[in-house]
Amino acid sequence: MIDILLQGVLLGGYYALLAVGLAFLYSIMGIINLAHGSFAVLAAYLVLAMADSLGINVWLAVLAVLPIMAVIGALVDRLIFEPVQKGGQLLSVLATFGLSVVIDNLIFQIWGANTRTLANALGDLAWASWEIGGLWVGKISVYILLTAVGLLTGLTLLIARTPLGRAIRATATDPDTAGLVGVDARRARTIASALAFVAIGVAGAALGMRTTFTPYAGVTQLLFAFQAAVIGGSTSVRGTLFGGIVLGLAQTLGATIHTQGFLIGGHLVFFAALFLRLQFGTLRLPKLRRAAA
Amino acid sequence: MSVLEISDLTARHGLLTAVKGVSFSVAPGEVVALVGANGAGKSTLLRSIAGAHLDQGGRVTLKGEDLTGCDAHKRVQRGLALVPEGRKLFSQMNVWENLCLGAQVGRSGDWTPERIFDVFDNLQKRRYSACTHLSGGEQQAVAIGRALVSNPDVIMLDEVSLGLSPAIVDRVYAVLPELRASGTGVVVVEQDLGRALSVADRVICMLEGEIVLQGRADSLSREEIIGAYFGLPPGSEDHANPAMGAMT
Amino acid sequence: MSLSSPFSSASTEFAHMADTPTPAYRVRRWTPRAKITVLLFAVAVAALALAPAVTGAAFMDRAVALFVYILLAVTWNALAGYAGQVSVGQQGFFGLGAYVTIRLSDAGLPVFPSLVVAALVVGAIALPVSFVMLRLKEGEFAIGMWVLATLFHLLVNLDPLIQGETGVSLIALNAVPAETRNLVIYLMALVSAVAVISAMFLLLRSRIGAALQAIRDDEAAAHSVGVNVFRTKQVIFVFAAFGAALAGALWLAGNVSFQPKAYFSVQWMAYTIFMVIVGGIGTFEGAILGAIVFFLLETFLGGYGVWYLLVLGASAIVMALGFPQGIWGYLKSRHGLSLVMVGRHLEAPETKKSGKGSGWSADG
Repeated sequence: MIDILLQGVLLGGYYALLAVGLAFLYSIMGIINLAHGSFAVLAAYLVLAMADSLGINVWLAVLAVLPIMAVIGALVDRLIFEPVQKGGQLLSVLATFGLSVVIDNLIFQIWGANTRTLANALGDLAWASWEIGGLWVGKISVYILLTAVGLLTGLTLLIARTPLGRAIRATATDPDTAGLVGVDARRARTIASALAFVAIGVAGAALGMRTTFTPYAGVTQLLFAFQAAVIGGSTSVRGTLFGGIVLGLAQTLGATIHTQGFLIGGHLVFFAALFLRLQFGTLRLPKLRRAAA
Repeated sequence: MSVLEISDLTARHGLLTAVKGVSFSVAPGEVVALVGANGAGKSTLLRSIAGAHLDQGGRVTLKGEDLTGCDAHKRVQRGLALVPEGRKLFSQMNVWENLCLGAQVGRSGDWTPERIFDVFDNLQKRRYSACTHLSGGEQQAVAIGRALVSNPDVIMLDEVSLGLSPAIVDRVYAVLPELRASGTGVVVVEQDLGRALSVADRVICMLEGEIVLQGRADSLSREEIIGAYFGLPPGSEDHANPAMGAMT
Repeated sequence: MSLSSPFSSASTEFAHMADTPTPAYRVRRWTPRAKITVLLFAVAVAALALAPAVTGAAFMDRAVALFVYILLAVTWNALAGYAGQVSVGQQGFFGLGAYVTIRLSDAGLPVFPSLVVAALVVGAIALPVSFVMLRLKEGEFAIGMWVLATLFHLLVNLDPLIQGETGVSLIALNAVPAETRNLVIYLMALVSAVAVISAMFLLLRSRIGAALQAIRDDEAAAHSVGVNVFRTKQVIFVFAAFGAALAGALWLAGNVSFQPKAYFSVQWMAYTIFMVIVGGIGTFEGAILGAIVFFLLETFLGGYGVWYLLVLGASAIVMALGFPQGIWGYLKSRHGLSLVMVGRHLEAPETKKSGKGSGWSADG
């Protein structure tokens, strides 16, 4: 039982990592990026391509992919998020969904349908584990959980404490007034988008290290990210750690009940959280973005 | 030599032209009061000068530099700040953060967040309060402080006294002499005509998007301004208007 | 514009197709054109009904696909374009429609009626679901529906009859001779498409249509003048679920085998969104036009596989960014309704600038 809980928490660390970028973008721009999962998978493929084809060390490959993701994030902001936002939510949903279709199929076109993993590139680490009180704990899962905690803390501090964070928050609340105070709202948005995509890149690398992926894995990753974000309070970056762990526990517990219970457990907890929130409204942490902004 | 020069400024709201070819200038250390009825185009004029209202024509020059077509944040960086109508504080941030936001424009000068806490000393104990928990007067002080810490060459105040008690308005306007002394140009939009005349060096009266009267505050009579205010022909100031009650 | 005006002209069917310069004149001026349109529509339907006499099984097969696309596009357009609820989870109802058909048929219901009954059952399931889902907003609703679709998928997989992802066939169909089978399925698909198009048309002209228009212009304002926003959206939600389920049931009838993965695939949403966006979201005719365009593209380019999907996704982005009114919206704006048809203001109900608001007069 303790083993199940432990595995659930560790899995939750990955989901938290996965959800950060989604929740962050939503809190800043009010856009739910339906291509979120596809970008995470793209990042995994990019790391794989660098590690495999170029023969770079996998950790260096991750470090090299993160700036690429940042640039992609900035480009997506300028080319899609920004123009689409003037047209309201409908267009942002449609455009990001179209984007996910494009990326999934592009990945398929470039790398083929085979199931891939970064585990081989990791060498022994992929299987290495610690024994703690008779329980075996995969090292990579622990690293991922720690990364999630680190990334969440870093991002939260950045937003709460730095001039850039203030500019991003001001832009999220009211871009017009931000301009009047001397904040370059466009620049703040683009940087926020780049940051979110760096988080997506980290999540993609984690995906590739802990398990396998295929070109069309983005759909599932998006749903997990979304579920973790909603359970954690929908829009708060801090809440994603809680949401991720709850989701991870629900899935792990579900899997012990029924062979198909892994996903169903997650979905049920998701809908339960959703229902509770709609009923009582208390699970929703305050949004950065003002509704009328 | 003027610090701010507006020439032939026009601003539209869709099909409606809210500001029609307005020209005026502000000298260093001068306080210009912009008066006029609701809908005369004062706020749109200020927002256009600040670059927040982009559907505009004409020219805005600050210290000889042409700002036409510049985004709002660039104008702040050049030294042109607006305290917008309704304060528009970032309600999720505390007082100190709001002030830091203005200060991070990076223009050097006397105004720092600490200085704002000195000048509006009742803010000191509110330093880390969320802005939603402040009184109207305190919020207005933060809004003005947020503009001041960008150390502007020209500061524009849009209806800063709206909804505040006279005693608090006094405190808000208490910074004007210092701004005047430091050579900062000031443009105020003020509903209270008496106050506008008492603080301003010069009064500009707008009607339906145009300047209908301007002159030195000490040379204009109250009747002249009220006449221009409502677009009445000279000599017909006996037209009673309920709205005038607000202007005493 | 008066809300009642589109409905005061009940006699002028399809008046919305008219390119009226000023809405006020619409009632009187477009009766002749409206009649022609209805006539053409009737002729087309009659021709399609008689077509099996001269064409073969291959034609009927493809035509069933077209009718399924029309069902998906028209009902998704009702939900996303008119009610402002962009669902990315209609494949859940599509798959359920197929699944329930199999269950009903397995329980002994004759195979053809079970197609329709299955759609009704799914519609009934959608009603309680709507109470929770419709309280989600915008993007949350979109992904929430997606999660719901995967939940349906997983639950269906639990049914031993389905044998997990292996799937199962609609065996009862094998008892029907191939020729009869093809013909009945073809005619059922045709009737379904016509019925859903007509239902949509009547729905839009009813009080619900007026309510939808009010919601689309300004949801809060609609609420304040007594429009039951939630109830109106529920009607559309159930209608859209029914349409998707009917599409799924018909698809099953045409393909016989049921593999959950194929039916619950989000690909169906990619197709549907493409159709509606290209045709003109929030326009009555646009959805149908988009389905036809998609059908033609698929017929001629479907063989290109991944590249074809890439083009679909890319065109959804390009259309959403630069051409959000779609083909039909564009045609309309060229006919003098362009003044308020600012492309970027689509019918998200919270968009206060009623970009498409007056476009209603041309929508139906």
